[in-house]
Amino acid sequence: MMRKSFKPVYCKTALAIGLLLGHSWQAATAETMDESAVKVAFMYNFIKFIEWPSSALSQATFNLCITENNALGERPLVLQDKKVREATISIHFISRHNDLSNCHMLFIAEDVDAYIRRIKHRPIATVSDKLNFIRQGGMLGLVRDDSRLGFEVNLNAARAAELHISAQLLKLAKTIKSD
Amino acid sequence: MKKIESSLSTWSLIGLSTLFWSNSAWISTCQAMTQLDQPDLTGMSLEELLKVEVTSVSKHAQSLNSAAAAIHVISQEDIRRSGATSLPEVLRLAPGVHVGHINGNQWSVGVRGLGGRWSSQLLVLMDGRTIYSPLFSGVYWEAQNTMLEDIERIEIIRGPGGTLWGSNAVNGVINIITKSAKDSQGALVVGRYGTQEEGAALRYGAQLGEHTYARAYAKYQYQNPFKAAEHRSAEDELQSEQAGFRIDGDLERDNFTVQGDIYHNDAMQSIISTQPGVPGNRVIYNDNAQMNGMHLLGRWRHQLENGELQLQAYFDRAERRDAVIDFGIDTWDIELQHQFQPFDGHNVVWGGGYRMVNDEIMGSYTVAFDPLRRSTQLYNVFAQDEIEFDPSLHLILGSKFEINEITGLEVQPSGRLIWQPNEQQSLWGAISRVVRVPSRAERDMRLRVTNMPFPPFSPVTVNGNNNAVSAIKMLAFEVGYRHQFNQAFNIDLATFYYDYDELFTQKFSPSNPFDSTFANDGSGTIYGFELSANWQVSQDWRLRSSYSRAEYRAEYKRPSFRLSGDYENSGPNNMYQLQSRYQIADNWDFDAMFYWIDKVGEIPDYQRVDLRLAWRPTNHLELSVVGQNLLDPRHPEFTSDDTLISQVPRSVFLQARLSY
Repeated sequence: MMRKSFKPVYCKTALAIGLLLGHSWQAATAETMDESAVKVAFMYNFIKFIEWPSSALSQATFNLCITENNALGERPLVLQDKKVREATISIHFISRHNDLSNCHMLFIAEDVDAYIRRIKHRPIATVSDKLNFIRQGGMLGLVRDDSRLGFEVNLNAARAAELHISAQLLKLAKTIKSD
Repeated sequence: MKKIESSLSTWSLIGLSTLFWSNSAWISTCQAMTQLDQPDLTGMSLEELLKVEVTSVSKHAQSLNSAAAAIHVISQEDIRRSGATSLPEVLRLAPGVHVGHINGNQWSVGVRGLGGRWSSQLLVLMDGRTIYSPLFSGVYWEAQNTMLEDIERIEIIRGPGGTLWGSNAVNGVINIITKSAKDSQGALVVGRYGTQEEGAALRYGAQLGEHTYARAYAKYQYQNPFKAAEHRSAEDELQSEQAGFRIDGDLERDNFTVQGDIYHNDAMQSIISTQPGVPGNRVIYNDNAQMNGMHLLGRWRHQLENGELQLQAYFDRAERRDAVIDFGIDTWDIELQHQFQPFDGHNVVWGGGYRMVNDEIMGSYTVAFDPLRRSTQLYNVFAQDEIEFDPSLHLILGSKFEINEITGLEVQPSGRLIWQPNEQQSLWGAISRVVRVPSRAERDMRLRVTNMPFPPFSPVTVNGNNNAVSAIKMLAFEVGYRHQFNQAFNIDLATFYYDYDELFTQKFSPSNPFDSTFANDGSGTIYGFELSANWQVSQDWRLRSSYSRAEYRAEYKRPSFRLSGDYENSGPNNMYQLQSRYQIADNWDFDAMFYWIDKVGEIPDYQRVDLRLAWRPTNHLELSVVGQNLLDPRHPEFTSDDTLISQVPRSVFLQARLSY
């Protein structure tokens, strides 16, 4: 309760001082954010900076599928109905028995090998926060560096699935695995 | 609700109309956070997301979950919130580590016992460079004054690190890693003033080229003297100055680092010394000990198709001059390391290195070295393979082979096994053999401890034993277990049993009753465990607690004995600590640390409370007030062999930290 009331005051004061000092603010705040919320935000950015082959994105819906046993809770729902280019994002919490062919992006929280095998060569962007995800064939691995999050990219896997990852995204990656 | 809506429209107006405002994402974040219960970070750009600090106890534990060792990582956030102003103080945060502030300028740091100023069973590295003095195989902690704000993390491995780290890594490895230049850009100014200390530090980081970043820093610190037991000043103040730089280059497949620093310290001490023709020994008051040094280090890392190659070389010079000794030590070190995966399921690291240490020591009646100068060379080769039988079962086998001119070839093998039946649990075990090679002190020192009380006041001397002294050997058995109960709570249990042989002792010489020499007639065991727990109580509050227990046993083969640094009193039997980090509001921190340290020899047990309150009025400024040792007006934490006993006083300081 106390926290919420402090926030707007802080923002306003910060704004005022910023105007006085005439500095451009760095957006990095000193407060800490919930990790799952940050991961979901990363996924939103991944969607924005990856191009799917036109055949895959024919409908107006972008399906973001999330496997079981993930630690994201309800955070992904914040992306529901958000617009990316011409499509609207739709969140699906799936289990191993579901059909994955309609997914555009798959967040893998368990059984990495099994899922990667199942969707091999399909235009589905795979994301995970599991250790060494890109070494196992995953495309985008969310990694933790002390108290910050970053990401790694496996370009080979992306190319095999006919996905084009924008240079803007690549230049911010911690590691790029490519031949 | 209405209040928030009208604030929003006011902000939008200010935001749109200001010319200075360049970052609209900041505004939208402010807006977003007041609208929703859950933060919607989708308005943040990728660059911003990469800078956000996340809280999640589970992730912190996750990366350590697969370590087959008792490892604890102290992050930059831990350092900042602890209010610690020196490296040894930061190390208090780790379980199993006993830190004692001996006096105004000296520290004892021991892992699972064997502490003391000359604690030699610990390997301490700063960005890959060893910082222990090869003279006594101990660390002059007072000469280590890097900017704590630019430390990325400190990894503390309790237990032998012989295979990868070599001899001297007997009881543990402390690996201090500073931030890369890229992560320490811009200006950072820190000022501190308090009852016990004052200091200022400045760092500036800039981008030199497309792929190159650099930083430079300068730091000044002054520690007031402690209290002597009788309500007097112990006159052991410390003044230190240090400056340094770091340059990092990041190319597609290569990255390189060049770093260096230079320092000068002035410490006051009341040192116990022996004078010819005078009975007993005398205290020299107000002895001004001076320490100077510098180092230069270069490192090159190259990514291969199937692994990584690393080459590192450094030069280090350390000098110290006080009433009893005057020395200069030059260390040259070069090391190559190759990591690759020869076949599926095998991850191999192998490499080798060479080190040359040249020293010159001018002694006194109290302590001297013969010969005055030595050039010592050390060669080593090591290899380690991490074998994956199954994603849940890993075996790590390795060994280090060292050749030194004193004891010849020393082999230090180790085997570690880790089983992770599921995401929540891991069980590991290890068997290792490590050695501690004799240092200059055990070989060449002539220490006159005291003079007899009757004429002719002959000295009682401890002599080095260059020809006959051999290395301490240790066999370690360790078992550990980790359990992540849920997102918010995890525990870590590490147990150990160390068997030591050929511990250094003194032996009286048959011809002269006042002369003793170093021998290896000691044997002993140290065993115990550490249990730590992490609990994220709520979004704003985190608790961390640990309990460490160790038993020390030592035996000396007659007629050998131990003149000083009794092994059985080298550490406390019990230690407990509780850390609380509470986020009162977005820009207010309240941190508390409680420690209980059991008695060590004659030093009684003590409880210590440190508190910190921090306020960030703007994004660039942090003001904090830190109180240390609040429960006691003063208490001693560790004894000293050669200086008068001193007590750590209660203290408080104010700190301002400004960044651009």
